[in-house]
Amino acid sequence: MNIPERFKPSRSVLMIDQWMTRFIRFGGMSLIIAVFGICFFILSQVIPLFGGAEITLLHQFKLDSHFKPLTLILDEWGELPLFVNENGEVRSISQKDGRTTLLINLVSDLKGNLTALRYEPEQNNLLVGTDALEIAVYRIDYERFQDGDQMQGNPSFHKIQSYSIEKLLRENLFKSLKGKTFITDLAYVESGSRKIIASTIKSEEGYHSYLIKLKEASSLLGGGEVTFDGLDELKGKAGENIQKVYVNNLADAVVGLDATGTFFYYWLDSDGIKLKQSFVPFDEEKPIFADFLLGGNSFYIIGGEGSNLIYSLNLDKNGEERLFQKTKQFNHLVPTSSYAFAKSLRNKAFLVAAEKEISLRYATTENIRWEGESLVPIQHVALSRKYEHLAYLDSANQFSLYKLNDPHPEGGWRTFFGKIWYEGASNPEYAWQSTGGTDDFEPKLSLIPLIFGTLKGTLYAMLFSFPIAFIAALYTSEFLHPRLKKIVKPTMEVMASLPSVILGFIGAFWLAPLLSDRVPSLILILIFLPLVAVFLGIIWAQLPNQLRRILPKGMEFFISIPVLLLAIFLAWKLGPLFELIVFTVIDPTTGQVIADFGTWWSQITGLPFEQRNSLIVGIAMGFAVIPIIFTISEDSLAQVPLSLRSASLACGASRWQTAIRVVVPTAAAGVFSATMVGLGRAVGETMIVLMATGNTPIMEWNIFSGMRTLSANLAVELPEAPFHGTLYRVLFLGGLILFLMTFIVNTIAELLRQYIRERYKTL
Amino acid sequence: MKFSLRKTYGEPFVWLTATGLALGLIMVVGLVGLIMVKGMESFWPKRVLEIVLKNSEQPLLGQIVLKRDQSGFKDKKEWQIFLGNRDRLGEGFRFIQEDKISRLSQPLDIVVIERREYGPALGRFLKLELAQNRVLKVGDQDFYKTLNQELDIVSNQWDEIRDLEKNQIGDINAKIQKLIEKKKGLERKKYSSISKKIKVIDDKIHKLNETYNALAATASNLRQLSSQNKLVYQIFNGEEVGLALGQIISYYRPNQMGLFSRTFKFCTHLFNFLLTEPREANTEGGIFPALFGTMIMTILMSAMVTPFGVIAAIYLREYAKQGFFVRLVRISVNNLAGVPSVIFGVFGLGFFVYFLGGSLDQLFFSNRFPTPTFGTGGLLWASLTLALLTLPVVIVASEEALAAVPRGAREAALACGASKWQMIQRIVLPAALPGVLTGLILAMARGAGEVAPLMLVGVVKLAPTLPLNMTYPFIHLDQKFMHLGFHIYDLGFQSPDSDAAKPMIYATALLMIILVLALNLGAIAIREHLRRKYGSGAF
Repeated sequence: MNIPERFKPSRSVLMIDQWMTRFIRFGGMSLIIAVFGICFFILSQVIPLFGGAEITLLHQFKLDSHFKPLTLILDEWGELPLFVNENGEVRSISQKDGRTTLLINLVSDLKGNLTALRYEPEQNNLLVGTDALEIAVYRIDYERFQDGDQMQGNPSFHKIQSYSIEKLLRENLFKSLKGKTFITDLAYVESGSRKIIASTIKSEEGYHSYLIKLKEASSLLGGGEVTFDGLDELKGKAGENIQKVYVNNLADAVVGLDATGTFFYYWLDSDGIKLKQSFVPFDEEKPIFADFLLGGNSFYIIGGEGSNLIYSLNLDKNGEERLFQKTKQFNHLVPTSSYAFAKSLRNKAFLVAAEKEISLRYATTENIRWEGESLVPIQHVALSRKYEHLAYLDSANQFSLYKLNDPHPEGGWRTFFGKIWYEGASNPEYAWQSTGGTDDFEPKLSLIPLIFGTLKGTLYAMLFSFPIAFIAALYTSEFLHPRLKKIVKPTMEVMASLPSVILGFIGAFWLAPLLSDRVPSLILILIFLPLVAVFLGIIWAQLPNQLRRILPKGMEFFISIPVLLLAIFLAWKLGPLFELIVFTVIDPTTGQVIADFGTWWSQITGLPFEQRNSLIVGIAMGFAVIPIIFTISEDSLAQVPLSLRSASLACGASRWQTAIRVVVPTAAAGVFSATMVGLGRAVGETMIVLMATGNTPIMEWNIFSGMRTLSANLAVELPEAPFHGTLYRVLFLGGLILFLMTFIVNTIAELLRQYIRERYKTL
Repeated sequence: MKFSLRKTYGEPFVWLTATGLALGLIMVVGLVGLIMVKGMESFWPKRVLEIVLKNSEQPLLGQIVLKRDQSGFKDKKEWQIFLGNRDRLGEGFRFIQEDKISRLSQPLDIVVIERREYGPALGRFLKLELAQNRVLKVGDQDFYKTLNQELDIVSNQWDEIRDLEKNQIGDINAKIQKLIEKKKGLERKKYSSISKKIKVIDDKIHKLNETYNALAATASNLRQLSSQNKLVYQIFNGEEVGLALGQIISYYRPNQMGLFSRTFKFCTHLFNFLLTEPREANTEGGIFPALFGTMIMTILMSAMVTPFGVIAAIYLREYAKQGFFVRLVRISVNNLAGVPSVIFGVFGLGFFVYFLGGSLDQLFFSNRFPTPTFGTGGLLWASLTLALLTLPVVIVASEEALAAVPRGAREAALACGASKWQMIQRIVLPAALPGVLTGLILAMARGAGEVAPLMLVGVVKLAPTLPLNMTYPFIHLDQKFMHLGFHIYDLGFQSPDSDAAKPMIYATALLMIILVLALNLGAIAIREHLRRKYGSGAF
């Protein structure tokens, strides 16, 4: 077909059109994809929380076969592994060629041969004991210096304590030990000015354990002179001899093990030493290995058959005393006669090896972070102080150093959604406490209290808002004069746009103090309002028609506003009287009868009464939720076809009967959808909850206490959370849950809305 | 007449539903009214009362803040009294029991002195100590005349100091900062002539430092000058306080003022509130930076959200094939409108600030490390986050506006030979513009009122400079800014003396409500106008 030239569009028009089509398609599509990207981005931030630990081999060297290492030590940076030989030599292993260098001989200036060696990573001490009953404590310090492009750590050893046990025993009039004696076990802890050395000696009669207390003179410059402050022999309940001694890093709990596999717990304070508890961890097995984990609260025990578990110092059921209780149980290890163990100094993780199998476990969650197997049995393991390297030495004297990548060892489903028995707690619980004052703090990252708080806040908000919003919508759509509707609806919509920070502020600073001792008045208002309204209706219905005609239909609320205000005022004033009659309690301190709702509430229910509570949140959130439910339900009620109403009225139904029997059932889905949208707003509301509650993550439905919601938690903690740290990701997980909660609720609402649209089409 | 509930035909229930609406309206009007009253009250110069208590000789001077029930006694009231003079008394407020008051009066000679530090002082003027040991007693004829003259002089000096410190010294600091960055960048490169260049920069820095010192000396000179003269006043406990004139912003005698002069004072307070900067940890002074920050952020947000929102709407309405996919997208967009605002903040922090910002810093601003430039919350990220938050509002409104353009108009355009884009550009968009505008205004209202996401992506309690100023590049997208909503939260929950901050919070809340309501009413007005124009119920 030949189109005349004048009808042809110019080429530029066509080009622009084509270009714009592409541009808009591309822009529109990419925007929509970007919007979906939000969800995926948040998800991508969360996923690493559920990953395990990864290790990569850095070096592997074969040590000379004549070395018989007793322990393996990793420095903070994983650069210079050390081992202590059976003759007391400390040697470093070069990372270049695996050659070893002698650094110091620990027993060279002690009498006798090395019989006991212990490395205590928390204070970086090396302890040695000899068969001449001499002991010494060395502190390992690292000096950092630049070596070319690399930073190097250079270890130095300082002898900080050295004693002759034999001399001490003699001076303190202890019975002298018979036959050949040697030290089998040692422990040394410093905590403030208190220092303790524990030592076990084997003689012909068996084992003897002693506790040497040292005192440091306080001096302004720090370390004063250390003096001997007493010696005690540790004995079991019935005088059993203690074979092994463990001291926690606060130097207040000492645990001893006897020959039968019973542990004894001694409590140390300024008065002296007290035996508090004895416990047998295994029925059948003998404990082979035990040690305190980071923080000195959890005591890890391995049995001969491979059972391994944790006893923690927790408040007992009465909440009076801190005693050891079994709190964790781990997967079985391969049974063996000696286990290799190393604890992390960053978190509650530890590395344990049995025969050829080695695993990295996490105490809080009982998870296995990583598992591996070597070709020959593993003898010693080590973790670097920063939890970035791990190393082991096998029986073929092969040394392996790995880079450890485990950024979120606390992670896992149980941490976020399960009950966990935390250190110090008297039973397993859901708890949220993300940061603590000390380095050995065990973060409590259960999201359950936050989800609970979110639901609690939502529930009370809905309890307050839904009835008001629904009946207001019903009145507006069915009975209100059409002319007034044009004013009323935008007014209510304006309420939806009030910034939530203002609502939160009013709730916290105006409403909370106002209502804190006026709860009875509020209860009275709740009783008065419906009664007065119904009563007003009854009277109105009795009035003669001439009178009723003065007020056109749909103007009722003009009368009800002043009456209601009066009712509210009366209820407010009568509240104290009401309180005086109903809410009286006997003050436990004075024995007088007082009328106070707060005290009454806590005495009757046993729950606390706080000023910033769920009631305030409910009311303040009502301002945000009511207009949403109101507008959307009003829309769907008003959309009910007029023919249905006319039919009902024509059949003789009253306007109320029409409304409640015809209109409401027809629009029920729409009202439900409106409620869902309102619910979605309540779930995600941040500022109101943040400001009008105390933000404590508690789990109780008490209306007069606060809560901590997911959203408020995000606003409070996220700005402080270190980038890509565990807390950061856990908060993102909280955000994801919140997102999903609102997403589900909103999708239900949207689907219902579409359903109702279809339905009205057929009516 | 015999009563029967059946005969009422459910009327009581109709009245019950009327209660619901009445309650809702009472809530709206009550809340807005409360904030109006409390907000306005904070500008109103209150009378100062002299209160004589039964058990003490010394009368108190103070303004009534609130009256409430004594705790434990529901029939007795107590008053919270604002005493001022926080520097002398240590407390700004005191509670007194109503039944302990024996006498109240309003002496005419009481002055309220608004100071630069420690909040207002309440008391009586005693004398003015001027240079050369000249002393004017309060009874002297030209006492007030001289005081006002001197205050004028001092106020000019303070303006000068402000200009020096804020603008000139700020300028120099910015320049020095730039040079240091440049130097850092040079130091990293390795070529021969580098040391020469560094030397040049060092010289420049040195010169700037000299200018800086000179300016700082001038400023400190002026400061000294402004604190030469002293005003001595007596507070209620008899203590005589000397105050450098430089510390005085203004004074007034509330008990002598009539309605007119009080209204004038009210306006001055209002004016100061809107246009000056905050003092005393934000509890005194104005909120100009917060207002300005809110506005800049909202404008930037609108500039970002409008094109994207409109393009998405055009795509969904005019280009995409209507079907399952588009329905899904619509559900999602509606859904997005219901996603809690704090989630957008979380996303903004993770994606914009840490991911995008961090990458930008790596690429362009590595000279400033370890101080992050875009890798921390700022104006750009905050506006982007809020743009994302308000996107569904704009998309939905624009789509509805596009849908409301009559089919006839489109067909007429196409029949005249317009291409599809021409049709959209010349016919559909202009017709839909008011609808788009409504959506945009609603988005602005929502954006201006949000605080939770901003707390994560760039709001601060006190920003040293405005995000838009005279230093190159004029608009500082990387800078943190102040915001009215966060101001409220911060004053209420993070300020050391939240009692003293309350008037400020109410005033800020009032301003915020007025802003948001004005935007909303504007949107409603446009909507009504449109409805009349098109006569359809599509909106």
